[in-house]
Order: sequence, then structure tokens, then C-alpha cells
Amino acid sequence: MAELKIIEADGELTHLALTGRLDSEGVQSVEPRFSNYTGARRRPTIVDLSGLTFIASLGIGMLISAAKGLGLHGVKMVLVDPPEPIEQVLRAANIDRIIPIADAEGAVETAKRG
Amino acid sequence: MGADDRKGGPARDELRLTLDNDIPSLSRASEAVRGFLRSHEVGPDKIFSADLVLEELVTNIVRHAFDDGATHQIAVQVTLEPGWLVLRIEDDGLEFDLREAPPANLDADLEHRQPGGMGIHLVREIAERIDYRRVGGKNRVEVGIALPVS
Repeated sequence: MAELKIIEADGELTHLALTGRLDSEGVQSVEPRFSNYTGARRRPTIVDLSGLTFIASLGIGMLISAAKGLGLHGVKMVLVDPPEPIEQVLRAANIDRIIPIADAEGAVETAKRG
Repeated sequence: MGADDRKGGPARDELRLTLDNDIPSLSRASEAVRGFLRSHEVGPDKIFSADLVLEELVTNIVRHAFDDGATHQIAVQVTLEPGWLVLRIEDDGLEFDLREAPPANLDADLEHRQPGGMGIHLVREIAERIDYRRVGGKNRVEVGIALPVS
């Protein structure tokens, strides 16, 4: 099961972490809150993926929808530190071409670049 | 989820599951398949691949194969044979040959990128072999994932 952790959501950045399995069931459980913290805040957003153990196309779709929503307001979302199998799936879906994937150190600067 | 029927042997082993067309059943099937593959010392990267293929194909069936609102059974068979991990998935839903599905548009920019349509693309990326037959009013998909030969 996936879990959404709120690391920071009251400053100029939104910093979230997704952990566990972002499969169909996981997306159902986290998507409403995830959409709320991304779309409603409209701040540059960092999504830490280091605790993810699985991602499927519905999970990727959730990330795309959130990034598109932020992009409409000229705001960027950055994916941080996905484990290797997760990053391979993201790259197989060409996600790295539309949502930056960064390490933790570079994420804030990448997200603020807009 | 239905009976777990394991057939063993020196060169081949298999897991058979029957699940309802809903997401909680898929989650239980995924757990069973991962446990089966771990118990046969399949590597984590191949378990991840099999898990992803199962997730994408069954999710597709649950979301798109039926238009009657009724409960249907999906049969899943995972077979380990020398050099291959094979998933066979059978459903009695609308006819659908995933080999003929149009390719996903992965080159669009963020503004024009669609959140859906990537599942079959991922299966095509992972699988070394995809077969499909329509038999007796059922879709029968077989996906082969190559295993390192020890």
C-alpha cells in the first residue's frame, strides 16, 4: 500500500514523499490528498520517491496529472531519488522528458527554476 | 481470490490463481505471485517485471473488459520453465488483442501528455514475447519474460 508523507507544506515549496507500492490500489489511496497538496497549493513541488517499492502506469499517470496541473500555473514538480527499478519504469515511459528527476541536493534548485 | 494450485517438478513449476475483476483481488494476486517467485529464487528485477506485467494487464481487464457491472473471474497462471517466466492471463471480457493496440504517444510535451495509455507500452517494453488468442469467447494472453539461465 502506498503512503503520502507531508514533509513541508507551509512555505514557498511543497515537499512530499511517496512510499510503498504505487499500484492501482496505492493510487486509489493517495491520489486525493496528493492532488490536493500539489494542485491546491500551486507551489514548486518536490516529490521524494526514495521509499517507493513499485510503480505502475496509474501511478505514473497520477504524477503526470499533478505536474500538468502545476505547469498550468507556471510551477514545476521534481521527482527525487527514485530507486533504480522505479527510475527505469519512469524512463521507459519517457517521464524524465516532462518531469525532472533529480537527486535530493539538486531538487530544490530545480523545482524553483520554474 | 480462488484456489492456489501449485504443480511442481524439477524443470517447471507453476502457480494458478483465480481472481475477481476488482482491484483488491489484484493486490492479493500480486502478493501471491511475488511470494511464489521469491520462493523459487527468481531475482528481484524479474519479480518486479512480472509484478508490473500482472498489474498492467489485470488493471486493464478490470477497467475496460466488462460493461455489464457483474463479477467475472480472471485466471492467472505463472509458470517457471528453463530460461523463462511466463504469465498467462485469461478473461471472458470484450475481445482485446493488446498486440494491436496503438502505441502510446510518449513524445508529447507536458501540456499535451495524457496521463493514461502507458500500461501496454510498459508491458511491451518488459516482455520478450507476447502472444494472444481468442478462445471460446475468452481472451488468453501469454507474456514471456526471459530469465538468466544458470
